[in-house]
Order: sequence, then structure tokens, then C-alpha cells
Amino acid sequence: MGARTDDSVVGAVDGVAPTGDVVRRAQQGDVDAFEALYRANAPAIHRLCRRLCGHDDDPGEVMQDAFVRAWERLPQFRGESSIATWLHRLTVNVFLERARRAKRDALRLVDADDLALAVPPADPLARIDIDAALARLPAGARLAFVLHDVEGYSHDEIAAMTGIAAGTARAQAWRARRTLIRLLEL
Amino acid sequence: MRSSSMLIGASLFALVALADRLGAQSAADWPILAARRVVGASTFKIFNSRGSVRVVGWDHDSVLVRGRVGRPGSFSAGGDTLGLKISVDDPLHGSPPPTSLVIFLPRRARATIKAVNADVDVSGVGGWIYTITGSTRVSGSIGAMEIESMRGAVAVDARTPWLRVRGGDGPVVIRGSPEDADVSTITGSLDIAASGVVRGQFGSVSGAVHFRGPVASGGIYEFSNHSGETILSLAPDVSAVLALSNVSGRIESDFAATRPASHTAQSLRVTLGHGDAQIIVRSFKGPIHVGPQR
Amino acid sequence: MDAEHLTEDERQTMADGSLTGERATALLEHLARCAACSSDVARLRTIRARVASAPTDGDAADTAAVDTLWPAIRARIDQRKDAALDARGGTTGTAGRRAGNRLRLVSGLTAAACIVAAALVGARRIARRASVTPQVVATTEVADSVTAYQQEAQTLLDELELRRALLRPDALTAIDHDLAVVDSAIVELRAAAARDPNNAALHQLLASTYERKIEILKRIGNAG
Repeated sequence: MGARTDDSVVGAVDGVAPTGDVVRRAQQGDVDAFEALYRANAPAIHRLCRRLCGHDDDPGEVMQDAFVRAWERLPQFRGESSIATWLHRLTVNVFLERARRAKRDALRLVDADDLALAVPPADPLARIDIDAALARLPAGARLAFVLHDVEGYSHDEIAAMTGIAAGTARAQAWRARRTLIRLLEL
Repeated sequence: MRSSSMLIGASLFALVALADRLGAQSAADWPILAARRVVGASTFKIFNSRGSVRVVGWDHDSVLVRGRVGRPGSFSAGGDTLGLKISVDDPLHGSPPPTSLVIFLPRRARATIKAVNADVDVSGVGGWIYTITGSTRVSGSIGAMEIESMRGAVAVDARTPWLRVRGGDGPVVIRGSPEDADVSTITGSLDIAASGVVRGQFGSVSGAVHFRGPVASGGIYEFSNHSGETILSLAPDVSAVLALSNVSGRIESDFAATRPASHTAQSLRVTLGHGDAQIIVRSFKGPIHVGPQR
Repeated sequence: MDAEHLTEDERQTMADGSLTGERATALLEHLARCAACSSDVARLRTIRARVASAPTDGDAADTAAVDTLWPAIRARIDQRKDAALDARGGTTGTAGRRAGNRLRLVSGLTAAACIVAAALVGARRIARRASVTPQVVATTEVADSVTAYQQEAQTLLDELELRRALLRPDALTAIDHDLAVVDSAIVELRAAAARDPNNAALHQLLASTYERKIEILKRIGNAG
């Protein structure tokens, strides 16, 4: 389920996945090789960042931090998973760390809070697209839903990554589904 | 301990209500210290280390400050239409005499209040409040609110989409309807009797945590405690899955299980009603008690 | 399932396929008979499928971001490579940057974040040069969190010692008192976790207690 387990889709440039040689050269400090890894994976990672961030963070900044950290931690990559899967997990961790740090500052920097659910669109006939609906979810519900229903992590994996209980992650994802149904008028 | 935390909560509200009435009578006579037109969603930074700070949200695009300044020349207000800094400066040496401020802000404004030892009372406005020993009271319909108090008492009776409270050893009392509430203390008691909480995280290291009230369908409630007691008094017809775990303390439930429940010495899991909400309680050694509200 | 309809738990797990076996078979029989439950489960399946598979307006933004963001990422990578060269020279670099960061502290929260970032980057760079497996972080995600908390706590404790003389006495008393309470709890939790390493609730309690400690220490910035 989800792009992270399908290496033929994620991590491919013009249909060609990065070779192990590219990964090895990037691990040894070859920036051009790292750029190739970046270009192969950046669209999927940016989509992940957009869906995780909603209105709470800048997906571009999250992606920058994620790839800089990927550069630093690439020597630790042992190939137990695909490079795309490894980048996905690393990106989620970066997002979570930013969210933890930003939670306190957000009140003093951001003018409006985005926590109201299901605010009717200005034009009742206007359809709300999926990304806009995701952005309207409360942060916890959006995170659990994106990680489970879109990215394919199990509730136990989400619990381990985020520090919340698996039951909480499951309930958050369920709440997100119900809210999205309402927002998308299904 | 259960009754004492409720007594503290009730006393706190009574004292603050009395102060409210007294304040309302005299504040209108206080001199105007600053008045300025601002845009509705401005940011206001307020500093007063001793005395009181009262912030009131109103339906005007302007700010008005009345007050009694303890030390002449210590008050200042500066900024522009996008925001204002209102400050009572501390002297270089010694403790300042108390200053009392009443500040009227647009309802959509954000108030950042650093009060140290001053008491804070905010209604109708969201933001961030920091105190060391001063008490904090928040009420009304507000935006997101974050409160940090090292030793002071905190009382919230507000409707807000997001509430975060970090208390120390002062009691914390939560009423009203915070939709998303994240509240914890170190040793202070935590007393929650609020409606409308959809996601709640409540915890303490050694203070007593007492939760009373309805749980929302689809709601998620997490409680954690190291050595203090955690008591949940729920509606008799509550519909929730309860997952309780205690490393070395006891777990007690007054609910008759309506579904098969798993139970070990350190954990209890039971489904009540349709199991529409999730309630998770983790403790290291403080006792856990759940039962129907009486 | 109550007398008439599926519970929320049952609807959701039928919709995402996590309910299997005899239980699922029994509920499928109910869905075949009950239009209300069947349509609700179908709605839940639909929303999952729509979000997971539908193209969105953002796809063009994802592609455009590749070129837009690379220069900044490349610049940050190059900075790290330059700093590694400095560190090998033994003059400035990790230790020098850490001391410099401390001197530039203006607020506990922002400054502590800079120090942690510099310390972690420095540790990884040293490990890379030495071609040994870094000991900085464990491999599991939960251990990652606790280790990160420990590092951040130590950095903030160092800052507390530096600024102790500048803090308000009542704030310092409160911080010291709260730290003593939290540290006592952490000692008990760690001992219990060592005896029962597979207890997930215990580890979550430990992580949340560390988080309390970090929050206490971050108040240093406001306690002056």
C-alpha cells in the first residue's frame, strides 16, 4: 500500500531507479550522486511534506531539512530497505521534530489558528479538493491519516515514530476519515 | 486528595470572581496610559512583573490601557498598527512596587504576556501567558491559548480550539470547552471538568489528575502520571475503549464490564458501550481509578 | 456489533481491511443485509481510495519544487563540507562553533536548538571522518526519541549552569525543584525499563517524562 513500498514508482527518473552505485557514491561524499538521488525522490518527498504540513509548516523547508539530514545520515544507510523508504521515514522524523519545536513558537508568530473543522466554503457549490481538505484536518489527525492511509505505515510503526499510542494513532486516522467525508461531501 | 483538589478549584474561582467584581468597580477610574488604533489581528506583547494584568477582548480595532503604575516612569507602550509592546520595567535593584493594568484588545489579537509574579486575567483573547508565581485565569471564547506557570495557580474556563498548559506545583483547573487540550503539571493537582474536549492529553509527574465529564464520540483522551493518582469519573453511559496500564501501582474500575476485558496485574482493557472514544491511562506507580460519575 | 448495527470500530476496520478471519466473515454477512452499515463502510473505503490515488493540483508543485529547492540544499551541504575541512584543520569547527554558539545565546529555546543541531552535526561529521559507526543515535525510533531528549536535556542543563547567576531567584528555585522531581521519576523509569525492556507503556512514560524535563529547562529563556 502506498508509494513507499513500490520502488519502481518512487525513486525513478525517467523510469530508471537510482542504482546501488549512485547510493554508494553519495555515501562517500559525491554531491553529484546525491543530487541524482535527490532528483529521483524529491517529487514524492515533496508531496509527502505537503500532505503532512497542511497549513502548519512550509513543505519546502521541511524537504530542505530532510535532504540535508539525508546527506548527513547517508553513511548509516545499510540497505535494509529501499532508499526511497529510508528517505520517507527520515522525512517524517524531520517533520515531527519541527512540529514539536514549532508548537510553542507558533502562537507568537502565526496570526490565525487553523483548527476549526469543516468550515463551510465561501461558495457552497465549490468543491474542495483533497489537499485543501487534508490541510483543514487537525495536525494529529492529518499526520495519522497521511502516514497510515496514504503512506502505508502500520499503526504500530506510527506509534513508534511519533511516541503516541497505537490506539491513539488509529483513532486519529479514523477521525480524519470522518472529517474528510464531511469536507468532501461524500 | 480527590476532594482537596476540587476544593482548591472551587476556592480559586470564588476568589477570582470576588476580585473580578472589585476590579470592575475601580478599573474604570484608573487613568488611561495608552490608546491607539490597531488592525484587528495584531500582536501585543505585555510585560509586568508584579501586580496584575487584566486583558479583555473587545469589538474595536483599537487598544486601550488603563492602570495604576507603582513606580512612576516605568510604564511604556510602543509599536504601530500591527502590534504594540506594553511594558512595566523593573528597577535595576530591588523588587518593583505592584502595577495594575487593564488592557482592552481586539478579539482577534494575540496577547503575549510575561507576568512573572503578577496575577493574570484574560478574557476574549488568545495567546501565550508566562508566570512564575502569579496566578492565571482565562475565560470567554478565545483563540488558541498557551499557558506556562512555574508555581502559580491556573484556572481556565474558556471555549477554545486549542489549549496548552504547563503548570508546576500550582493547581490547574480546566473548565469550559477546549477542543484540543494538552495540560500537564509537575507536582500540582490537575482538575478537569470540561465539555467539548475532543482530543485531550493530561498528565502530571506526582500531582493528582482528576477528570470528570463527557467524552466525545471519536474523541481521544490520554492520561499519564508517574506517582500521582489518576481518577476518571465518566458518564454512566459512556461509550469508550479504556486501556489502562500501571507498572507497579493499582488499577481499579467501578464499571461492570460489558464486553470481554483483558486484564493482567498491570493492565486493564475494557470496552464500554460502542467503544466510540479512546481513553488511555498510563501510570508508573500512582493509582488509577475509573468509574461512573455520581 | 450491537443488536442492529456495526460499531465504529467495526466499520473502520472493515473499511481498511485490518479485520480479517471469522470476525470479518460475520460482519460481511451483516453488511450484506444492512444498507445503512454497508453504505457507511463504502464511504470510508471511498475516502481512503480517493486520497491515496487521486491526482491533485499540487502535483505540479511537487515537480517544480525539485529545481527550486536544490540550490539551497546544495548550499547547506557545501557548508557542512567546508566545516568538516575546518575541523580537520583543528582550529575552528565543531568545538569552536559550539563555544561560539553558546556566546551568542539570546533566548533559551532558539539557542538551545542551535546548540543541539551543531552538536549532532559535529558528532556525525566526526564519525564519518573516522569511518566508524556513529554512536549518536540508536536504530529504533523510540530509542531515537529518548536519546535525542537526553542530548537536548544535557545541552539545556549546560546553559542553565551558564546562566544560573542571571536568573530570578524564584524562577531558579522553581526550576531546581521541578528538575529534582522529574529526575527522580526518570531514575525510577529507567530502572524499570531496564528490567522490562519490552514494556511499551513504560517507554512512553519515560519519553513523556523526558519531554517534561526539556520543557522545564526551556523556561530558562524566560526566567531572566
